[in-house]
Amino acid sequence: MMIGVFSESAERIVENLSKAREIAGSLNQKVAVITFNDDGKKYIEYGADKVIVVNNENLKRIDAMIYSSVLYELCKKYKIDILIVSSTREGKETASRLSAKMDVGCSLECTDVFVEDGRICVTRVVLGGNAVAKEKFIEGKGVIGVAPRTFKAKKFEGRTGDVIEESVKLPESPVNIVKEEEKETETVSLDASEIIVSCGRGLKNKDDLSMIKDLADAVHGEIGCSRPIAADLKWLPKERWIGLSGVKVKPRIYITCGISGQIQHLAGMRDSDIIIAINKDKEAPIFKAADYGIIGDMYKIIPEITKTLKK
Amino acid sequence: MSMVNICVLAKQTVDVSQVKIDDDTNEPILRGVERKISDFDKNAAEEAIKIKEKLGGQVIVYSLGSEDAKDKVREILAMGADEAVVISDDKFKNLDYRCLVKVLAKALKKKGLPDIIICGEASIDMYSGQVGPRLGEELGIPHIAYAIKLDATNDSVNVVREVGNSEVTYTCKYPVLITVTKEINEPRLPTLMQIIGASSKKIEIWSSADIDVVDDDYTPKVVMEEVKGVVIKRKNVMIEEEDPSAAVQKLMEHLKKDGILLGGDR
Repeated sequence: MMIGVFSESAERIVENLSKAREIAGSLNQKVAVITFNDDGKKYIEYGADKVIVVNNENLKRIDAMIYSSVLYELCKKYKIDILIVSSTREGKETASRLSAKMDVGCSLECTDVFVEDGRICVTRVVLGGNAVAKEKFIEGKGVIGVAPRTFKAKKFEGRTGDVIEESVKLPESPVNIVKEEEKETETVSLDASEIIVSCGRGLKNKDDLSMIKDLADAVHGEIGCSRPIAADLKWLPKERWIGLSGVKVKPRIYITCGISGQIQHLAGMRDSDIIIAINKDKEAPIFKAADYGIIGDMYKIIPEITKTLKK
Repeated sequence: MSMVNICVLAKQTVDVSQVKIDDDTNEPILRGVERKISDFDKNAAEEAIKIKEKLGGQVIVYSLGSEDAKDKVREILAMGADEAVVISDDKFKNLDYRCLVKVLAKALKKKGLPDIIICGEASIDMYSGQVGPRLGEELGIPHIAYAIKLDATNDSVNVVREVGNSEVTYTCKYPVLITVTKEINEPRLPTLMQIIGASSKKIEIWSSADIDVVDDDYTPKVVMEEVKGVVIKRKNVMIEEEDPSAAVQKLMEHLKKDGILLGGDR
C-alpha cells in the first residue's frame, strides 16, 4: 500500500509530499508521486520513494474525466490507497470522480491531514467559514484534497527512489471545447502575495481604485477585493476576489479598505499574519478579525497612509 | 416543441450567516437557526427553469435531508419547477459524500435518468464541491463544473466556464451533469400567483424503502468526529480620531512599537 501525491503543479506536489512523508511514517508505508509531462527525478529529494511519470500531449489540458481515469489505473496498479491532491477547482473535480471510481471516501478543501489511532484524519473549514470540522477516514483508503500552500515543502538528505515512466490509454472525453477566449486581465496569483491591500463595498466608484492602487504601490503589495467588487460590480477580475468562493490568501500584511468583514470574506484571509482594517462603521465585524483597526472614512485615511509612507 | 427533462438538486442548509458559536462548548449552534435552500442551488434551479422556458420540458427538484425541507423546496416549485422529491430517512442521518452520492444516484434513476442534472458548485454550509462531479461518475455521465453561462439545445448543451485566464466554452451531448456558480444568473423571486400555484404542485417524500438502497450505500467511510468554532485571536487595537492624520499617526506608532514595517525601500 502506498500514499500517493498528485497535482498538475510541481509546487503543490512538493508541498503535499512533505505531509505524505509524515503520514507514510506513521502508517509504515511508502510514498509515490504521480505527475504528467514532468521530470520526475526532482521529487525524490522532496520525499518520494517512487515517481510515476506519464508523458502524453493529451494530458496537457486538465480534463477531470480523463485525469481521474488515468489516476484510477495508476492507483490500482501501484496499490495507492490514499491519494493527496491539490484542492483547486480542477483538482476537486478530478478527486470527486476518482473517489467514485475507487469507491472510497473523499474530503476536499482540507486544511490539515494527520494520523490518529492509525487512521487518516483531516480538518476543513465549514459553515461558511464559521467552524472547523474534523473527519476521520475509517478505512485506510481515500482521496484528500488539500488547499494550496497549506503545507511547506521539505528537502531530505540522501534519499533514493525510482522514476518510472508509464503509458496509459486515455479515454475519449465526451466534453469538447468549442471556443477559448483569453480575458484581458493580467495573471495574478494573490495566494503567493506577501502584502495585500483589499477593497470592498466602501469603494464608491471604479475610478477610486486608483486610490487603492496608490496605497498598494506604497506598501509594495497587490490589490485584492471582496466579493461585491469582483463578482457583482466586476471592477476587478475574479483572480483578485478573496473569500470562501474566491482566492485564499496568507500574506504577511492584509489591509482592508471599506470591507465589512462578512464571514465568507474572512474565510479567504483569516490566516494573514497581520490584519489592518479601515472602515467607517465601528460595528463592522471586520474589526473583531483585525489586529489594528481605524474607524474612519477610507477616502481620508487611505490617502493619508499613502502620503505618510511616501515621506 | 421538444422536451428536455431536467433534474435540480437542492440542499436545505442552515443560514450560515446566522450561525453563532456556543461560548462554553465552542461548538456551532445550529438548533433554531433559520433554514434555507443553499444559494448556489437556487442558481441551479433558475437555470433549469430557463431551459424549460426555452425548450419545453420538465423540471424535477430532488432534496436529500430532512422531511421539513419540503417547505423550502416549495419555493423552487414557485419559481417554476414542476414537481419535487424529498428523500428523508433515519438511515440517511450521517451520510458521507460517498453515501450521499450513492443514494442520490439511485433516487434519480428511479424516474429514469434526465437529460440534464443541474446543481450548485458546492453547498454553502459544507463547501466541498464534491457531489456534482462524484454523482456524474456514479451515474456514468459526463459533467461540466463551475458554469458561468449555459445554453441548452434539444440534444446538447454549451457551457462557459473560467479556466485560469480564459473563458472556455464546452459542448456536451445529453445526458450531462452541470454545476453552476452564483455568477450564472439571478434567481427569480416568485410572484404571489406563483407561490399560490406552487401549493398544488406535487412533492413526494421518499424513504430508503422507496429507493433500492443496500446497507453499504448508507454506511459512511468518512466520519465527522467534531465541529468546533473558528477561534479568532487578534490584537483588536482600535484607533478612532477626528483628524485622519492623527489616526494614521497612531497606527504607525502601534506598528513601529510592534516591529511591523509598512512600506519602506525595496
